[in-house]
Amino acid sequence: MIDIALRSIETLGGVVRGRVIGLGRFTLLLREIFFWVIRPPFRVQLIFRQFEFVGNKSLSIVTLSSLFTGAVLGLQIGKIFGIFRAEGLMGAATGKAMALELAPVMCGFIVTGRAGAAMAAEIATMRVNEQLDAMEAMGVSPVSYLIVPRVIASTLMMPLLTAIFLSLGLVGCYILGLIMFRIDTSVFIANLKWLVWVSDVQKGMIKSLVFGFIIATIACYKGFYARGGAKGVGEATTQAVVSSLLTILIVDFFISLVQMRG
Amino acid sequence: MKGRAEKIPQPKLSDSAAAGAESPIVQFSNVRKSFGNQHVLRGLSFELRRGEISFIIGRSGEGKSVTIKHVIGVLHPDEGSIIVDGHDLSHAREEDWIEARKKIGLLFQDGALFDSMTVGENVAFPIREFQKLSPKQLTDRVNELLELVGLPDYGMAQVPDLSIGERKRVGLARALALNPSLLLYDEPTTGMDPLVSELIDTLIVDMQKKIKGLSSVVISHDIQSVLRIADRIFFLHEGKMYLSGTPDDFRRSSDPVIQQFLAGSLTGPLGQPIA
Repeated sequence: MIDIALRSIETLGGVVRGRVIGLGRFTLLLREIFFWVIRPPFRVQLIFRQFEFVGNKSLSIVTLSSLFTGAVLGLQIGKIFGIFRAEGLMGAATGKAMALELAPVMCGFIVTGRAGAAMAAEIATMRVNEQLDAMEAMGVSPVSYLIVPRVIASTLMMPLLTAIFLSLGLVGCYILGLIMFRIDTSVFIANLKWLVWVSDVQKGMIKSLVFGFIIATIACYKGFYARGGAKGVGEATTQAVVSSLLTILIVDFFISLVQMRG
Repeated sequence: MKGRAEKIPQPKLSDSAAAGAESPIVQFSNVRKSFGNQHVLRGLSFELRRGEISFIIGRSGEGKSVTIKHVIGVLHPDEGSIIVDGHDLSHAREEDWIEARKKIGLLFQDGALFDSMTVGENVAFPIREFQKLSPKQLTDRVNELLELVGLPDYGMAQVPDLSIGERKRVGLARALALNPSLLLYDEPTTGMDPLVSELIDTLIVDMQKKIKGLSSVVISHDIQSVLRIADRIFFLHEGKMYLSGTPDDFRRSSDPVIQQFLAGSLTGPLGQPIA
């Protein structure tokens, strides 16, 4: 009995110790990221390459998913609003939901799955193949060369992708409204202007900026501290995706809370 | 145990100073390093002479890689001093280490090439980072380095298409890109067949001949290779320098520890390896 209790305490202690070490490492990495963001060399070419990777290469999946998300949301809202003969409000309701929540969160999920996972896997592979050690041994900081461009690109690209997601989502909703509910275009636009404010879009953009930073830092952190060959790369990638998704949802709640009170 | 500790001869730090006017390229004085309760380096002292091929040997887990990581500043000593190319870097700041590393080339076991870049981009990487060359100068320098390691016209080749021997050569070209005064090889022949091992040995000796003033340090388990090309051998044991000398000194040594290690025998004072 005492043995079991001791073992449980030991396991718990090990888990807590691991978490504290992880938090410490993450904090140190964040400090180093901020250090290299403001300190030369400024790797403009690498940042643009990451803009292309995070932004341009996510465009097709963002386009497709936004059209269908907008359409399915419009379908559900239109069906319920139809009970009250208020189908004309479906665009406004969809727009409000997308601007405040769905566009930044869905974009965050998409970028995590596509770019975040790739970042974690690439950096983890470089770690287990000693490529990061080689870089360090040459006097080049891997944080400056690999992580900072990814964090900057992800942070700046997310609002752009979110804006595209929101716009195309509304297009998807409008097309569905036209076909399924035969809504009037002028009513759709008037209600959209009436209910969806610029401040709603701004709030969504702020969220997406934060999510972009979260995705890249978590992905790079998991990759940077990967250990143990191919298995380690797989684990780092999985952990990066799971941690990013959960963090996005938790941070989203707190930002929403602050934005509602503000 | 006490008896053996008394037998361990400490290197005479004044040896190289007496041998030549130049200071040693690397000097460790009483360096200690522990990881938790594991004491890896327990007062390690030695000097590596300029212009020589020095081999650091010893059983697995004796701290050879830890030693080399101290030389490039990836690890820092708990106690003692490390002087590299005349600079005391024992407690240097990261900025000082970045400067120091430009003078040190390191060849990793499998080359550690960046597989997202071509061979040419790999070799150009340190030059782009630290030197301002025109595109033509950069191309010329990369071609010159690739030619030096026997891989001309490989500039556009992709890293995954290279054989292990070619990877090492490209890694060597990259390590030489900034004209280092010290070149470190981390187990360059591990896992190689005898022919490739000999090829790598030839490459090490060639580099030493071609590049004036270059000092090479090789970590190796390959006794044949060590005895064939080393100018000086350093044997690490129990976190200290057990014996240093020329290959002939080692061949002639009657010390049972050295004899067991050179013979690769399972019986003797070193005991059996942990499988």
